[in-house]
Formats: sequence, structure tokens, C-alpha cells
Amino acid sequence: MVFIYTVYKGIMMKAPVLEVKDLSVDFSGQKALDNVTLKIYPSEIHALVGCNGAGKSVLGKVVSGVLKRSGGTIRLNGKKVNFNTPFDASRHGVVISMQELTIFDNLSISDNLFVNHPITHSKVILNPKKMRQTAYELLSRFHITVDPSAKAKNLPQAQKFLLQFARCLLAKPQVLILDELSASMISSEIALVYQVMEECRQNGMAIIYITHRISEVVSITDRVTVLKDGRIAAEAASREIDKGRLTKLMLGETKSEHYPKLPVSPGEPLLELSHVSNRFLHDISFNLCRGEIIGIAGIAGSGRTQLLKAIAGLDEIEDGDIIYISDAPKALRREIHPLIGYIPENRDKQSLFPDFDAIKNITIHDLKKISKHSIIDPREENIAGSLMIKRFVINGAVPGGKISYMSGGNKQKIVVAQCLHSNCSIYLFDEPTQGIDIAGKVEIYNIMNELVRNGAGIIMVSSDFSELSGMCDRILVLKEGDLIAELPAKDTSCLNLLEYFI
Amino acid sequence: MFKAARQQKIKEIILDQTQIDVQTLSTLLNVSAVTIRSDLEDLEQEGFIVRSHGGAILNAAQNQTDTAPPSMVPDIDDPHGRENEHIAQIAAHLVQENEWIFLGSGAACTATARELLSRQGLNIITNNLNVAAVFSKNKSCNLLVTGGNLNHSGMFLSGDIFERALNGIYLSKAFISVSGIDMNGGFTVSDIDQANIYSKIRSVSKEIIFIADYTKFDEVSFMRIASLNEADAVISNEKTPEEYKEYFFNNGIKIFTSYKINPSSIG
Repeated sequence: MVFIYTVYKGIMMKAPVLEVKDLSVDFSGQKALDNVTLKIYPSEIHALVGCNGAGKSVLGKVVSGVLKRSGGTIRLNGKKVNFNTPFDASRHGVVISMQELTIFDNLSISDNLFVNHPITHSKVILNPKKMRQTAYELLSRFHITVDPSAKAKNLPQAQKFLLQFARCLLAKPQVLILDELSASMISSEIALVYQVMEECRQNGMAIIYITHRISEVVSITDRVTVLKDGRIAAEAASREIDKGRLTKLMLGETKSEHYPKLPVSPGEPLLELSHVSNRFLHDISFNLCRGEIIGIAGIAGSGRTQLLKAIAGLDEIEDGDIIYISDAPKALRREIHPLIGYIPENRDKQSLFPDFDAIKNITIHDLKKISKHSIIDPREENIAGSLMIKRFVINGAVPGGKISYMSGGNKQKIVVAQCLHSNCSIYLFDEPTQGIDIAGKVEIYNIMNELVRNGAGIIMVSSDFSELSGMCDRILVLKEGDLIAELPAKDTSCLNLLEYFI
Repeated sequence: MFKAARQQKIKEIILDQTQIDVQTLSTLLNVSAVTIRSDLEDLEQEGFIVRSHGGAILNAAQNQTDTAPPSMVPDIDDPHGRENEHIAQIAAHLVQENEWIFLGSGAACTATARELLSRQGLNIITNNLNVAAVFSKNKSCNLLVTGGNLNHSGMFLSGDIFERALNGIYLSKAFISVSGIDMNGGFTVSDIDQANIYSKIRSVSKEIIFIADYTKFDEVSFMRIASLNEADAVISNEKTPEEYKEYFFNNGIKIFTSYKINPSSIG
């Protein structure tokens, strides 16, 4: 083996332990990663930053075998590799701690630790004594004082992530990817994480640290790579970069002026939240009027989806009131309230029936309308469904044809049509344009315009800050269940919003 | 009961009651709400009623025979009447009070004027005689007609006098109809008068909004007035080709496309 030494600002480096070249990942036409080339060296903590949707998690997952790449190469210690599963990658020394928790609540803490790498006598029989000992050592390093044989489900969220981190270390990785590990931790726990990371680094481990906390980048990492829209926007040594410049690189030149937002004067109030609280939400109060589009900005764990679900009545609230206001005559107001359409993030799993055709999917939530004497009238069903298909220009809607072959954008239009068929006046969108191409996004925005100018009210949750400042009248900022700000979209740019999350 | 007879019956009911809701009609005529909504849509097209949340209202303006609109210039048959109406509704939302806007030639601009009839406090300058005729009914808006040489086929004014009328005036927005929108050809119009008008308007207007129905895409007309990326906004219909939606969005141009949902669908 030949070591190629390069002097890099005083740090001697060997050849890269991990190298990706022209790496691309395609999700049904959407490029999540676009020709990414990156080198990671041993004994380095390498920050990977970018806005939501920039591709950071995708990069981490591809490199560790969770996702398949569509193009490009991955080299480990100079040799080309092709990981088909995370276990494959783990055996070669590449391990990831994902943003999504992979702790099994029903198993013990110890079992969770050793699930991938049990300690055995001669590779066949488990060695519980050794496992107990290792568990105690590892857990104490992370200040987890609970008995390892206790079930994991009672651990607080932050400690579950620490457990996940500990499990990764057991695999003795060469390359460790930490995706938003510190997101739900308090400063003392984060300090612990840094400590362990530093120890690992000194032992030769390379750590890819995915975060959107820019302050972390400067303090603990050696180098930083900025991703934007699936491509590398910049790469630099961490001590040479300042917060402001980093933020600008993350956002790029995005303008929110190109969003087709139609000015609509707000009408009567539709919805009023008053000190709403539950497990995920703390004291949330705000109003929604007809004609308004309200945006909700928040990272994972902020309670944004839970807020929508509480309004839709899918989650219970423990305190406070949600008041639905309709313009029915006073006497009837108690019984009649505005109908709420919920358009969830995972439309395929939660809103659509993949084996039914478009027309059946559209009319499914109000069958009374298309029935005579409690029997569905196929003619009425067809009229109602076809009208929506024509109105929203839903392409690929073949009568009798399964909707699973339709594009993301068209499926989203079907979900909106479902709500419109049921005469909803409040529309709750969770990531309205995720996984949809540009033309489809434009269509959804214009459909939103049409809904609100006809008297509907929209609340939309989005990770895309330009989308929020481009299409909303007001933006609510949610952080860990608290409503920390309410901003008029006119004066709010991506930059302002990002500052709440740094 | 067949559709024609049923719609006639609905007309009678509404003439009598002035206003009625879908549920009541559905019960009275013993058909589903979907059918009623479809009927109401047809009647609205005729101009007989105006749909509202959950029902319909008699369109008083259309049904008063004694105050016929003074149309000194008969509207040319508008082959894209329906699309232009949808475009006009969007355009109307973009017009704010207390700003000067220009409405250019073409049926879509005339339709926009119709949509603005119920508004107050608007300042409009136009070279389109049909727009002027429509706006004569609105006494609470300022309307300026530029003057100029009459283009007979398009019913608009152009030339030296038109240009002089715009000297010293600054506009917030200008709505310009075009005959062609093409990736390579840009925005095109059918005669030199319109091209000159555009040059003048562009020099005095902050925002240029191009309007065209979906059939104008991938069409190239006689004279190029601007390249695609010179627009600030474009208004068209839902059938706008996808590549244009993508192009405008990616190039910082607001692309509005109309969708015509039934207003009474919103609860």
C-alpha cells in the first residue's frame, strides 16, 4: 500500500477512507443527488450541511447501504464498493445513525445495543456475560444509568438517540455517519456526544456529521461540505468559514418572488386555536380566515404534523380549544361546522386507494352525494369524478385504471379533489409539493390560489422556506411544540426563517 | 324531467326567490346535488345567475332590460370566451387599489375590465375601446383613454397621440395580450401597432403581465415584442404546457394558471 501524503493547512492526511464520485440518486424523475463528488479522510469530523431537501440524509443513506444509487461510484480505502444493504456496509465498516429512530421499544436496552453485533462464544453461542459487561461500559460512557435489561421504551427520546449512537460504535466503524443526532438533545447531552466523537476521531474514525445547526459546524468539525438541491455548493475548512457565509451558501440565490401567489383579501374567520396543548404541542393560539394561506415552519420534532392532526381531529388535545367557525345561521351553528380536508405527507399510504381508479378515489369521502337511496349511482359517480379530473387537468386518469401509475403531482391533485368533492373549506397540507416536479408544483400553487379565492382557508406545513415565504400570507414558526413566532410573509425571507433554526 | 325542462324550472324558482341553495333545489326537483350544481354552472354561463357558497343568486344586472350596457362597440365574437373569463378573474386579483394599471388590447383585457366592475378606487388607463365601454358603468374608478389612431380589427388605439398620452405617466402594472408565446420566438403579436404600443408601455411600467389563453403557447405570430424572460408574470389557463410552467418558475417569473372550481364546492 502506498500512502499519498498531502499537506492540508498543516494537517497531514493519508488517502481518503471514503470517496464518492459523480454520485447520483434518482427518485422517479426527481434528482435527490446530482453528481456529488466528495472525499472523506480518516481522523476527521466532516460536517454536511444544507437546507431541508438538499440531499444530506440521502447522501448518508446511499453511502451506508440504506438507499441504492442511480449513478456514480463509491470507493472505500481505494476499492470500489457496492453496498446492497446496511448490514453489508456495516461489515465493511460504514455505519449510519439515521434521523429516524431505529430503537426497538419492546426490546431491552441491552438487546437493542447488540441486535446487529451480538457478542458470541465461537460465533454461534451468545455470550451474555460479556454483553452485560460491554453494555455497562458503553452506557456509562453515555451517562445512561438505567439497568440495561430494562425495556428501551421508557427511555427519553434523547437517550434513545444516544443508545443508537452507542450501537453504531459497537460495529467499530471506519466511517460513521451521524444524521441530526443532536436534534432532540439538550446541551449536556450534546457535550457528551462531542466528547465521544472526539475520542473516536483520535482513534482514526472518520465521522460525517449531518446537521443544520451551523454553530456546531464551526466549533467541532474539521471540514464542511454544503449541499444545495442535491449538488455540492461549497467545501471548506471549518475554521475558515463564518456563519453568515454558510447560511448564504445553504440558501443560494433562491428568490421567493417567483412563486405565483395571488393576493386574496381575507374573509370571515374559519378556525380559532386557543391555548391548544397536548403531548406534542404547548399553548398554541392562532386564527385562520377564509382566503388565507398560513404556513408552518419547523424542523422534524417541532410538532408541525401533530398540529395539523390536532386540527383535523386525528389527534386529541388535552388543553385549550379549537373552534371551527361556519357561516351557517346561528341556530344551526352547533351542528354544522366547516369541513376539514387533510392532505398528508404520505399521500400514497394515507389518502389514496392504489387499486381504485381516479374517479373512485376522488368521490370516496362523500358517497351520499353520488348515491340514490343508499346505492352508489355509477353515472353520478362518473360525472362527479370526471368533472374534477377535467377541472384539475389530472393526467393519467384512465377509467378503471389503477392510480398507482400516476405521477406524484397528479396523485396530489386527486387528494385535493377528494377534499373538494366533500366540500371542505379548510385544507391542511403537509409538505404539499414534496416529491413533485416543478410543473406539478406550479399546478399545486395555482390550485391553492383557486381554493382560497373561492373562500377556503389553507394551512401548509413545509420544509421549503422559499415555498413558505412565497405562497403564504403568514408564517408560524414552531420549535419543539412551541409557537415561537408569527411572521407576515411579506417581510420574511428564507434567511429570516433559517435563523430560527440555527 | 329532462335537463332543459329542469333548468327552465330552476330559472322560474330563482326569478321568484332571487336566491336559493343547492340543497333546496335538489329536494324540490328530486335530483342529486351534483346534477343541480352542473345545472347552475350552465345557468351561470348563460349569465342568468351568479353562484355563491352553497347556492345561487339571480344575476340582477343581466336580467334588467332597461339598463342595457351602452356598447358603442359590439364585442367581437370571442372564441376563447370561457378561458378569457378565467384569466380575467386571476388578473382582477392582481389589480390593487390606488395604483395605476394599463389594460391593453384584446378580449382577455376586456374580460378583465368586466371583472373589475364591482371594484372601487381603481386607476385604469387603456387604449382598448371595449374596455372603456365596459368601464363606463363603474363610476367610482378613474378611467383614462389614451387617444390615438383606431385599429379597426382590434378596436384599440395606437400611434403618436397614444405615445404622447403616456408621457410623464408611470404605471405599476400593465396587462398585455399576446398572440404567441414560444420558447425560441418569445412573446409575439400580430401587427406592428401592437409592437409599438408594447415598447412604449414597457418604458413606463414597473411590472409587465402577459396574458394569453393556452392555445397561444408554442405559437409564433408576426412580430416579436419580448423574450420570455422579460416578463414579470404570465397569466394563462390550466392547460398551459408543462415545459412553460417549469421555465417560468425557474426563471423568476410568476406563472398563474386558472383552475375553474365550482365556488359552491367550498363549504
